[in-house]
Amino acid sequence: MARRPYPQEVDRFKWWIADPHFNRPYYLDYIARESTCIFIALYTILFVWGLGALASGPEAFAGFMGAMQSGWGLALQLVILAFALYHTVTWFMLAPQGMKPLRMKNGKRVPATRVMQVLYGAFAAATVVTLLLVWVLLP
Amino acid sequence: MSSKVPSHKPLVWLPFAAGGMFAALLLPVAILLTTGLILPDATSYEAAHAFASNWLGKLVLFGFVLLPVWHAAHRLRVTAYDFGVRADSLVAWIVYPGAALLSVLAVVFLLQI
Repeated sequence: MARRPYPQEVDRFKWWIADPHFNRPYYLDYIARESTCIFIALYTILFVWGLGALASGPEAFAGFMGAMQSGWGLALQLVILAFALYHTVTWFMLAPQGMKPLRMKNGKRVPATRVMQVLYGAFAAATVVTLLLVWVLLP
Repeated sequence: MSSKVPSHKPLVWLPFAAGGMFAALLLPVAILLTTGLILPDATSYEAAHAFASNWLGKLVLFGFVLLPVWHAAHRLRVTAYDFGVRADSLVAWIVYPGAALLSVLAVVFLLQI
């Protein structure tokens, strides 16, 4: 009978960097993975901003793209790109977990390595096909 | 009892998973293109306008907003808790309407092009 239960104090803001009782590398990894969404959200805001500039006309769009492609804009986009790639890698690591209900003909689970091979293949194909399409469509 | 009440989780989870997969597969190449480091002509007004003038192009550009933004909104909601912001329903009332607003803005802008 626990008369005086011991609720361990956890810093709600800094638990993932500051708490010595936790497995810090694991939690840092988790927070890094979850934080990619901040950069994806930021990119969609920039993307919608760009669509607005495109709707406003040539000067607005040239101004927007000029800002995006010089100095701080480029640096920001490279940071976003790094987090987007980290999202890709971690998403593909999580994907086999979501496919556990899926069974092969022999009743066994689809091997995680197979799922990841397919996903990385799809990533490479999507990237190459997009670049080829853009290249073909260029006026 | 509670198992008979339909959960709204699939409704949130399906766009989250779809958006996450879309972002994982296609966002890196999209960012690479908008940096202008590769195929810089693709970000000229003429090229972007020609692409967005077509209904299929509009649909593709809309996809690049709708899917990642829903994914990011749902993950932001969960991550806010981890960063110490525990007012979950308040956060939900900010991120989901925020994602909806960005999606609607994208449609409005695309229809003006």
